[in-house]
Amino acid sequence: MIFTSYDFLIFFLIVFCLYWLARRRQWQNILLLAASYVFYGWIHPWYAALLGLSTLADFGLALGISRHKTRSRLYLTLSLLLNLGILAAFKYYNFFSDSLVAALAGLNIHADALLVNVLFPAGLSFYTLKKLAYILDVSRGDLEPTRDLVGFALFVGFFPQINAGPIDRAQKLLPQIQSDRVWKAEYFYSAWPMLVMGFFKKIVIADTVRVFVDRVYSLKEPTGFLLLAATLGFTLQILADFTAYTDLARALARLFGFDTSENFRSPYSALTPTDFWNRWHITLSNWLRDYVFFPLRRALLRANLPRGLTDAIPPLVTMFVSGLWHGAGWTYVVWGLYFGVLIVLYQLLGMGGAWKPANKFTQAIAWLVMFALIVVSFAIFRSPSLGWLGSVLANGAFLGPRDHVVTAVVTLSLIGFYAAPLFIKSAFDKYFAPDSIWHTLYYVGAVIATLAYLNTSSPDFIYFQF
Amino acid sequence: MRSFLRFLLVLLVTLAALTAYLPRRYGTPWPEEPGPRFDNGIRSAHTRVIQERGVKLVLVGDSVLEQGVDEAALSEALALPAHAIAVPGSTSAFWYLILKNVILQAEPRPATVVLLFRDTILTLPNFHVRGGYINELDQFATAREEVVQERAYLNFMNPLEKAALSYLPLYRNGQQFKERTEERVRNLLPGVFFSCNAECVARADATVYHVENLRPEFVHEALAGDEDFLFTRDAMDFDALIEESFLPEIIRIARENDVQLILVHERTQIFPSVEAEPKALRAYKQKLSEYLNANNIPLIDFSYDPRLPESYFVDILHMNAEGKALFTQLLAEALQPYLHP
Repeated sequence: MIFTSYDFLIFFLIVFCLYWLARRRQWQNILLLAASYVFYGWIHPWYAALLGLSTLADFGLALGISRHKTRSRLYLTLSLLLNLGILAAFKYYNFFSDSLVAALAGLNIHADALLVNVLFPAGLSFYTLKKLAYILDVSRGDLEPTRDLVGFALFVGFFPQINAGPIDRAQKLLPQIQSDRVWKAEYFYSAWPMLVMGFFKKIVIADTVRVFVDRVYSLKEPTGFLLLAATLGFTLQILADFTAYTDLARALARLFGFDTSENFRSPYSALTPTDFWNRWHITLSNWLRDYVFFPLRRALLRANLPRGLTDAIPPLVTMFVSGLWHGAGWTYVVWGLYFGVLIVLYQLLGMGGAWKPANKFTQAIAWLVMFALIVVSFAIFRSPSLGWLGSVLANGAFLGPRDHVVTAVVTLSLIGFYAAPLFIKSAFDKYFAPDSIWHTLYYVGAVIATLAYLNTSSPDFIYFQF
Repeated sequence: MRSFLRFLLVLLVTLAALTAYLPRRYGTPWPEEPGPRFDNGIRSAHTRVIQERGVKLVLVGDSVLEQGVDEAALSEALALPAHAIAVPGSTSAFWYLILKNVILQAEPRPATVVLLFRDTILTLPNFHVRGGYINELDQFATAREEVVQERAYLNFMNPLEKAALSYLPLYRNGQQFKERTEERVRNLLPGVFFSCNAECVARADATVYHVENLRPEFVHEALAGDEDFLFTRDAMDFDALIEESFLPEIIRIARENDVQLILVHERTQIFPSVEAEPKALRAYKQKLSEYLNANNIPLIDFSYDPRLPESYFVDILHMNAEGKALFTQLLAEALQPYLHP
């Protein structure tokens, strides 16, 4: 089920009414859990079965880690194997089966049966990270495992978050799940602007811009100018799409009385790569920082490796993992490594995490350079293959014939047009109070545009595929 | 709370104003019927061709027909004037309208109509009827097409959508609003910097995005993705779909007008062999065959014809020049017994 569908609207209204009628926390949790499994298994019921079984396993393993200290490593290893195994099997099977069949064919062995496409369960990458964080925190002694199976299952499968995050930690969500919740009007008052913006960004901006972007990336050899225009479009599309999903997820959670994490903080105003990852998909960045970057860095420091290596390896490995997490394909791997290399280079230039520009001019230059680097990263991310991108950059003309220039200008115009509402919103947020008449007018305009652009079928959110 | 109430008030006033203004602006009634708005114009060029050439056999289908059958070669092989009406992307809703409003309007009428289809397309009335397809469909529709409205649209609308289409002109006219806005944005800068008007922009667009400039993998994925609609569990449930589809209507109007209807299942490369075909699709095809048999409609099946291997195809659906020549010949041979018994 997707948030912009009619099915979801009916589903949500029923769950919302029953939830607040239930009053008792235990009933509310059971209802939300049941609703989450219905939501998740709506199209493919086996998605819900997989979620349920892996949740049960991790619930038991976490209790085992806490109760049997001597076997805690065994239980932790089992959990890691289970979670990473399922993730790898579903995420990378198709990627590797193609290569394997091709290699076997070279040896005259026909293994076409391996080419059966495995359907990737939406949200698996997200809830796996939630469970891994929980298990790792329990094994480190940072978190007492819960004995409340319903609460734990709800933390893992909470439907506003299950498909694309935010990847909230147990420390944030479990205490809320285990507290009494009574309806307050403020839940609605804080949720409605996020609902308006979520639908507006998804329906009016992301879904519309996607069409222009996809057309250029479907070409055999677009000109450099056309590719630049489309990549700027993708930079807008991915932000609008992902922030829309996060806004909707946070608003829906709020309507059930939950406070969930912020996932974006003006990411395109970042001045350095580290700054970008502190603003972009924040809950994923924090996860990678806490469970990949820091442990790796500590291990390298303990091994007394040279400073250069202890500084360079953690960001490279962390961003490599980030790339792999985003998808099975060389474009994602290179995209991750690209950011890893950028972080190392910026550190070498003395522009690491704590860097602040000396003046406005430096700030403007740093922003311009960083924004250009972000756009380049999204060209890698969106390309159908590295070979295609290399060929376009190496062989293609930048401007090309007049028709191509005109088409690139048209693409840029449309992207500028659809980017304008986000600039205006940023300016309003900066210069006017949230309850100003300007915000009211903006939200009214957003609803009007959404109604005009509304379509009964809306493509899946980009991040569902990760 | 205050800011929400203010928002709600301004929103309601704006919506009321637009609801009053837009029907006047576009000259439409309020409330409206929830289906799409068709005009009375029909693309009549095909009707004229059928009349002027005294066409005896009309082929109807989508781009697979366009790229798979050579009209002149087929006419020669069959020794009778044949005419192909191939509308890229068309589906059963189009074919029903083409039969009713184009072919049967010709005088004299052709004796035979051959309908080329694949898989479950004949019983999926809502396939390719929304978005840009509405304008295409309008080319073959009169202002009142109750069967199309009901089977292709109303049966698939939820109550909220029906209400929005009837009572909310903003929602109803959204497509026009979006297209007009984008057209202005699209044409502004090329006009200023390159003296390129709307026509010039459209020409540039058509040149750049010509199908020959597209990545073959993209075309393959796009086609396969689109075809997925034909193989969902619901789409392969023949019994649940047949009565609400266009097929019974197509058969009925052909019979009432004394036109022989022949169905031809196209050869495609969606499934490499009959063994790779989903079981549910096999069951569907069996039921379709029985249904056609019960209605005395001949079915010529090229589904997995080994004489048309993959080498004759440019993608999963369309044939190359050699494939077209061979398929035309095979089709002529297969049609012969029905035309000259």
